[in-house]
Amino acid sequence: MSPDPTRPSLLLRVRDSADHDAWREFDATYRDLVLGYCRRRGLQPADAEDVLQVVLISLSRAMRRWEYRRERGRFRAYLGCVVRNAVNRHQARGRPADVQLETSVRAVLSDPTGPRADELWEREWVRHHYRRAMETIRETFSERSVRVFERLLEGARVARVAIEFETTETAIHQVKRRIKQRMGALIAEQVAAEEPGDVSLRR
Amino acid sequence: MSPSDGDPRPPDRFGFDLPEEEWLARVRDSVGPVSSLGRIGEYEVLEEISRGGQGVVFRARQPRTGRIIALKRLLAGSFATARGRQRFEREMEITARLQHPGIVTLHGMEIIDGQPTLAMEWIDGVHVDRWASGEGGARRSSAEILRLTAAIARAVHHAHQRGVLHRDLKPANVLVDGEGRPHVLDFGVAKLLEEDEALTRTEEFMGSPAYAPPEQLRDGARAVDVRGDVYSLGVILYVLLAGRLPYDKELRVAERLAAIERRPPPAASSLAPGIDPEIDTILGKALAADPELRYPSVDAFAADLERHLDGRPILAHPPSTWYHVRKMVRRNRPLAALAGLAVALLIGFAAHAKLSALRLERERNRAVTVVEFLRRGVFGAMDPYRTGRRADLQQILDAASARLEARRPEEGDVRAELLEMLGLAKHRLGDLAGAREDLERADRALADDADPVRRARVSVALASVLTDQSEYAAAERRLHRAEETLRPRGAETAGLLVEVLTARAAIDLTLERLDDAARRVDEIDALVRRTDGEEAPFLLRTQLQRALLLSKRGLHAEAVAELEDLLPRCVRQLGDESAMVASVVRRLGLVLFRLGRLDESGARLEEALERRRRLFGDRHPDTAQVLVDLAATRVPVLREDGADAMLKAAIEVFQESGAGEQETVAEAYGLLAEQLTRRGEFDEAEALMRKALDLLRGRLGPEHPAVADVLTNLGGVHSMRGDHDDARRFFEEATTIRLHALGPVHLDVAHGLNGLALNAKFAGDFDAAERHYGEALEVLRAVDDPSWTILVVLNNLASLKEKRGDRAGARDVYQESLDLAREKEIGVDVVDCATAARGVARTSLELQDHARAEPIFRELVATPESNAGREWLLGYDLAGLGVSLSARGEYAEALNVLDRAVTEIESLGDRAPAYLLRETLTVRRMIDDHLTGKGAPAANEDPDAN
Repeated sequence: MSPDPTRPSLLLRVRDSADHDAWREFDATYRDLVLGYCRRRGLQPADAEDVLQVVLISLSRAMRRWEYRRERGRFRAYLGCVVRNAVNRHQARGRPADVQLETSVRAVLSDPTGPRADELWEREWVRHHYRRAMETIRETFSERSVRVFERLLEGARVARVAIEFETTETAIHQVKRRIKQRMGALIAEQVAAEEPGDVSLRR
Repeated sequence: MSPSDGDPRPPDRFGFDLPEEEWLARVRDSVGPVSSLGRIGEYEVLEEISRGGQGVVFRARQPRTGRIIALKRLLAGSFATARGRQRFEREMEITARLQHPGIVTLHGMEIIDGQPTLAMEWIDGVHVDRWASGEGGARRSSAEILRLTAAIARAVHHAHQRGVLHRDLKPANVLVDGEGRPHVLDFGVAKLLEEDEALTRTEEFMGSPAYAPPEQLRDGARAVDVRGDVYSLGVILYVLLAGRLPYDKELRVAERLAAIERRPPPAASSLAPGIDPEIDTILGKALAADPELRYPSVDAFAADLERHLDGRPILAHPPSTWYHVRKMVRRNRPLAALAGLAVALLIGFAAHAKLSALRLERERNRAVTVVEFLRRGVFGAMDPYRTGRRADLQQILDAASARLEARRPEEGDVRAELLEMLGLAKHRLGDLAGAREDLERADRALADDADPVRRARVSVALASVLTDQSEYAAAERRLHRAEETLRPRGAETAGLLVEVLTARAAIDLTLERLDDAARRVDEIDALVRRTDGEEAPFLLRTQLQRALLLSKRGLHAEAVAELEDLLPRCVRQLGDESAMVASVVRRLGLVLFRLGRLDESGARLEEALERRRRLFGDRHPDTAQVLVDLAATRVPVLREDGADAMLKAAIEVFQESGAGEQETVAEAYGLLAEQLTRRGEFDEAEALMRKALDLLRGRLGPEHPAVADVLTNLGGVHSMRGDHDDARRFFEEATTIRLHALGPVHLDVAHGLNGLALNAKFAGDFDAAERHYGEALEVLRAVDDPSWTILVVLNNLASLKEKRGDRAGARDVYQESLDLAREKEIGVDVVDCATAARGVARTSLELQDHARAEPIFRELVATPESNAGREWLLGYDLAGLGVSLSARGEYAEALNVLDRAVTEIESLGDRAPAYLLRETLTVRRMIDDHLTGKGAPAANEDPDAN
């Protein structure tokens, strides 16, 4: 499967804040990343949605000035920065004084270059790509293969899964290997597509 | 479906290279719903903090207590069974017992949904590496990092003492809070996971290879003890200081192991500025591949860091022989000889390098043998971490001698070399007997056809020991032969020849052959200047000998000038802590004493004592010698505090070290005897003196001036005992020896004459006494630079005149003594000066010259330290002052002073002479009488009379 040819232009189109389709797509792609990050930062679902809105608005402003550079990780870092700041502002808002104090101490320790928020963002970003790759796997692999893989994800031993699916351990291993391989390729493509300049380099 | 080369690969952080289990866990975590945050067991999860190979950490709240905690869920599979659960709880209970501010407290542990979960104290902090790189501020200084690392180590030590190893120490397991205090996480977790059967892996390494000790990489966690944690702490410190790992982060386990075993990591000081090289040493010891060479505990590691921070010497040293040698020289000066010789051997090896291949091979083997022996036999044994204690250097050398005896290296030459080395080291340690034995064995071990220069070298070393044992004849024979060997060889052996000549000059000086000594010193100077130039350290030694020469010739002031010039040059060229500096300071103390500058002398000798204690230790003859010096400068001037104890301690050290025959011991005996004499214990005193006499006659010959000194003392004892004829014979013999050895114009001749006079006085032959005093004074006035000895003689003469009723004559002599003392700036606090002053005052009283007496008594009263242990003299001086005041009509003050005198004298009870109180009360009554119209005050007796 080749990378979606529309992807590189997605971010280019986002630059036009009037382009609602582009926003919708952007929202669909990154929504779970931003929400996931917010939840892991301890925000309740409703608060996380608020933050997502804030992020989208500030992105739409920033994107007008946003010029792509052919450097890897620029967008991921930029988006992470915007989201982190939004979460920090949200957490500092309308809290009792002691909580605010705690938050500000933590903000000094962890933001904007803080290791923990940074690391959390990076991890959420990894999850986000796994999730998207897994979605594609579900759509493109046979149902049986997906179910085998899911059983393995649940922690079942290969021998056990082989019995359940009335096949050999070797066959189970093969399924796992194929999916892993495909997942690797998908994620590589997704990451490359995030940075439009990189796509051509990787061909 | 197979991957093609052109397939893009996902970035590393996606973990596709992880082992299957972990990769699946990662996918499961990614794909699963985020809502897992809600609750875990009873805990309300607030946010995810970190996620690693071991599991996930959350910030959570325990609703029951409202407490904020860190919740760690371990990725482990085998805890679902009863046995697994039991193991988990047992392990974690031990950890939960650790209570230390530097260890994150474990509040609870349970298995929730099959996953082992730990509830820990919540620390709001950053990982230590972030802290060091200056999270939210400037980069931390090296001192801050060291201090923090020591604190971490102390915390880990707390756990070790309770039987808990960490086994996975790394920056991620150390949090630093806002106040800069470290908190160590995850004790016991590594062990728990290591033993998790479900996680048994074949090729994969548990934990963090970059921080793991090599024994763990090789043999697994079971092979690790506390020294494994020492290693990990070492890596942490390295990373914090240098900003990078000691070995490449990317290395696989086997490669890493090989790299560690191949060579130590690059010095941290070469990677980042501001790191003291001593830190490299500490790191080297912590990161040693062999656990045996590491710090034995994290506590020892912390202690060394603290030592470094406090500027104290650290205990660590890399296990390289040459580093050992250098460090030993710095730390342990007695070993300088050993190290110096070892270095000379290697230099010798290099010099021979142009010889034939065969010879080269032999030389190399020789060097290797010596170095091996040094490393294993000597320096190895000195390592307190190997032996478990800091062995006494002497024991080590003795053991080394024994080992050498047992091993008998094939080559006699090497054997001789090693024996020589041991002998020199023992000599420096003050073990004269052991040194002599080893050096004599070295001499015998040399083959008949051995290089004569080698033989000469051993001879010189042996002669030096013999000299210290006062075996001058034997020493001179050896030195003479060595000199004959070396003289024709010219420049190539000039250094050794200089040593021979210096040793000979030292013997000349001891045996009072002053002209020979002077000639040799001149020759040494010329030789040294020719080969080494004006700044040669050896010239310092000859200058010291010159000063001694001046002093021996009675030119004490010149000697002091010479020594005061020498001292700063020694410090500059050899360093403040050199043996040479101690020797110069000692000599200064002795010569100053001769000049009567007692306080300066005392201070210098105390300083010399302290210096030698530092250099050689307490049980060294060179240190003991200064004790004798101190006693020798206290006893004659009646400042006897502690003298007996010093002398006894010194004698003990001398006997212990094999220097029991030294003339210094005789001096010590003599001084002890002097003390005994003063206390009236004449028999004991005489026994000691005869012991000293025999010793000195045997060592120095019957004609030596030192023999005369003892004879003089013996005369004194006999005289006091009333054996005046025996006494006279001793004094006469002493004087004959001195006249012969020293010539007529010498201080010591005057000493003898003084003794003769005293004896005559005691015998009642006052004419003979006055004659002898006159002779003594003649000598003293001729001596270029007389010391306070002349005061003693003058005072004695005056006292004699006083006794014979010649008050005016007595006063003149006392006055001469006092004037001389003032001229020499000898204070009235010195006993001889005080005696003269008191004599003048007293005779003036008797001559009715009250105006002259009064100020002198006043001065004496104001200087009670002149009383030298005779505390009643204050009462005496007060009484004298009272009398002179009353005679001048100042009755009010006189009564006042006399009352004070009475109080003073009465407080002493029996310790004051009975006449004094009687007389003082009489005078007081007389004043009362006088005020009511009766008689005049009477004179006192002479309290200073011998």
